[in-house]
Amino acid sequence: MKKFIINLSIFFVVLIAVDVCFGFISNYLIKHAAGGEIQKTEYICNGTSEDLLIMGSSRAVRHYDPKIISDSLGVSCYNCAYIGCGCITAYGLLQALTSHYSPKYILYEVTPEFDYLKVEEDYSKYLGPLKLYSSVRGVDSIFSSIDPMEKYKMNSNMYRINSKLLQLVAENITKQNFISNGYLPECRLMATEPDDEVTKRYNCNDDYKVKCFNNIIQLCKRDKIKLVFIVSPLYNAEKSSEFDYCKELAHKYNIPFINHFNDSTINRNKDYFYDPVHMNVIGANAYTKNIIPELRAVFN
Amino acid sequence: MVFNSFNFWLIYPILFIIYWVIPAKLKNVGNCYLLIISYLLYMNWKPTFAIVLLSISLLTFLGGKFIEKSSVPKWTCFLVVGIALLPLLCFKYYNFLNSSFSDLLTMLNLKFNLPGLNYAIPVGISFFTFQAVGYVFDVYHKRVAAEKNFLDYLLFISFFPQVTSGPISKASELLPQIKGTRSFDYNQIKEGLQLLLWGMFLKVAVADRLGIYVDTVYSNYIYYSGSTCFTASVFYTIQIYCDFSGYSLMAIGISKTLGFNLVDNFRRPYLATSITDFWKRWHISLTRWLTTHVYINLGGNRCSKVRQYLNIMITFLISGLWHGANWTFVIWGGIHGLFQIIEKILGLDPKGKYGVCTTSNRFLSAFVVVMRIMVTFTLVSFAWIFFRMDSVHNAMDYIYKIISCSDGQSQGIRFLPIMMTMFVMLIGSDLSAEFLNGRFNFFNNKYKIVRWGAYIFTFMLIILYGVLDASQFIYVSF
Repeated sequence: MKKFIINLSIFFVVLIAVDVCFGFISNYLIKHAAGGEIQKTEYICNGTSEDLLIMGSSRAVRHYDPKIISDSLGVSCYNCAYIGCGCITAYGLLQALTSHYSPKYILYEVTPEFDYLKVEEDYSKYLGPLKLYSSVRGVDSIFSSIDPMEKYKMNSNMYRINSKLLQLVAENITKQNFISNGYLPECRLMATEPDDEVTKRYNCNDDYKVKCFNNIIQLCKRDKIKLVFIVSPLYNAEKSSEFDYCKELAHKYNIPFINHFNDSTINRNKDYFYDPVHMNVIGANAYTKNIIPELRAVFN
Repeated sequence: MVFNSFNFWLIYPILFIIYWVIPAKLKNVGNCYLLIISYLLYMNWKPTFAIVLLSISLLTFLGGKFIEKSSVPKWTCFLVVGIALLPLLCFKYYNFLNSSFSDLLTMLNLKFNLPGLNYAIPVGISFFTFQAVGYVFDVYHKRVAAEKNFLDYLLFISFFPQVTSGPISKASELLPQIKGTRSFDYNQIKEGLQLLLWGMFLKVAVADRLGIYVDTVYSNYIYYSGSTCFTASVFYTIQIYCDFSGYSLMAIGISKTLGFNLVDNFRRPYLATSITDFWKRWHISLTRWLTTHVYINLGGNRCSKVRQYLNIMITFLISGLWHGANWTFVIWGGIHGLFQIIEKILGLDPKGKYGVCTTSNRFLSAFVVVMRIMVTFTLVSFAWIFFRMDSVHNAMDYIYKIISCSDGQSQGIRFLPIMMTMFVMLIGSDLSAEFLNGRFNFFNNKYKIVRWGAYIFTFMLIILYGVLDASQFIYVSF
């Protein structure tokens, strides 16, 4: 028994020492990342100063080219959206970035299944980009509310960089130029015509997502940020009732709502998409140029 | 509660300490403690599930006693087994049988619909039902005496490391350990923790990491190219092995730390040289159960060749159905049955004319073994497509995509260097155990620094690259 306890204690002491070392190394690598996802998060949380921020899911990452918006509207712009993320991540990022400045405008791409519809029980996938900033005030409460155990797990430096170590090293070795102001263009074309039913239907709202979505509205109101809801085209989509809740909120809080979900000038063109939900770089360019007059009208 | 959840890791050290604080001579107290823990952990899934577990335990316990005393033991045995299988049939197969029957009637232009049932299937019902039914058969065949102590029997069925995922133990293996005295054995506990660590690595780091790729491709396969679909099917072959064997190792490891030895469930199945050999290495406890209670009862190989082939096919169709209530599982079982029949006809099974390469040329012999391993791996991977897909039509479509090398998107493999490292660790470990007598098993290296280095490195990989959100274990749904 004695031998067992001693060996187990030594094992955990060594493990804690390794974990502390990883903490120093990862902090250094985060601060010196030259470009890529981690550098993007670090920039959003500590370096942004742009007038206009784009937020949302992969549809926002792929569909809005900040350069076109900046050149056309004369405002600086950064794409703060993340693949597979919605209002939970966006709220966390806003909490972090508003501690150092407030943007003038936020263009929020609404994706109902990520922003307010009940799809899954486990929200931990939305925490990915926030993990490195889990101790920031406001972000920590999101972690606690999703999983009370998460704050204990975050004490481990290795856990904090779970799945990110290679990315961290890569971003320190080479500058990853494929991300331009947070925008991640996709060059592929859609190879196969999709089935008629491209989206799953979810009927009820998710309380926690709704809370975060509303928190974003309140935070923008508090910091006098002009919030705009926007929906980009979905391939061959018809009118959808999934946006009713968003319209309701937009009406209630007087938030402009630009809906191109079933914009037939874009969403019937297969060459603009690389899958039914995401546009490629050709589609993104055409779409971003298309919305400029509407954005100009809204921001003025 | 799954073993790869953070909550389990918080409470497990406490369970472990309390268990070993109880003096060895108070073994009944220790057993009661394990029984309470087993039920509490099981009820953590859903409290009502425990009613099914308790009912089956009670029924088979009393059934065993009746069979022993009965003047018509055969019919008593059938009655007890029939009733014990009812929850499994209702929970797992009712909707499948109902829809299959309705479809059949529709084909005959008849309409008859029974309402479908919509409830959660008790976790691990296939495992504990088979363990309980196996006990009843063993009593009937007088391989074991009917158990007299109900608490010991309850623990035998509900023992928490194995209740949700096996291995399916025999009464003759586990009950004597429950009744025996267990003392703190440093080497056994060390071995248990090593298995736990390696199992965790296989499950969380390899299987779950591969699962992200596999799920992405399989759920949207129509958009992906034939080569990507092929890669995903190979990855799924590795994923399901690491998922199930990893979880089994965790169960065996946890049992060892509590002083119990459970049967090994996997013995490097992808190094099998034939499908028959594969089933001697894959899910050993289930294969053993089906061989003992189905195949041999049907007549086994002590009958005509044709009858033996039929027995194999029936056994594997049941094996397929055990895995899930869908025609895809039935076909998966049927494919494995068919492959084994073909092997027997061609004499390629381990006991067949060409089962072992007899040439004296070592190079040629090694070449034949490698080729046979690769062919077996390919056939097994092919069958897993049916196992993974939700419908036969989609499975056929998926196979057609691979065979026709169709165009489509490709899916990049994230963390390639890490994945390669993990593959090297996995393949190296299996090859070393199979051909080199475990010479390169770093967990048992004679140098302490190598052993400890291996522990720390494996642990680091789990934390740094494991999928740590306690994603479900694939076999838990069975």
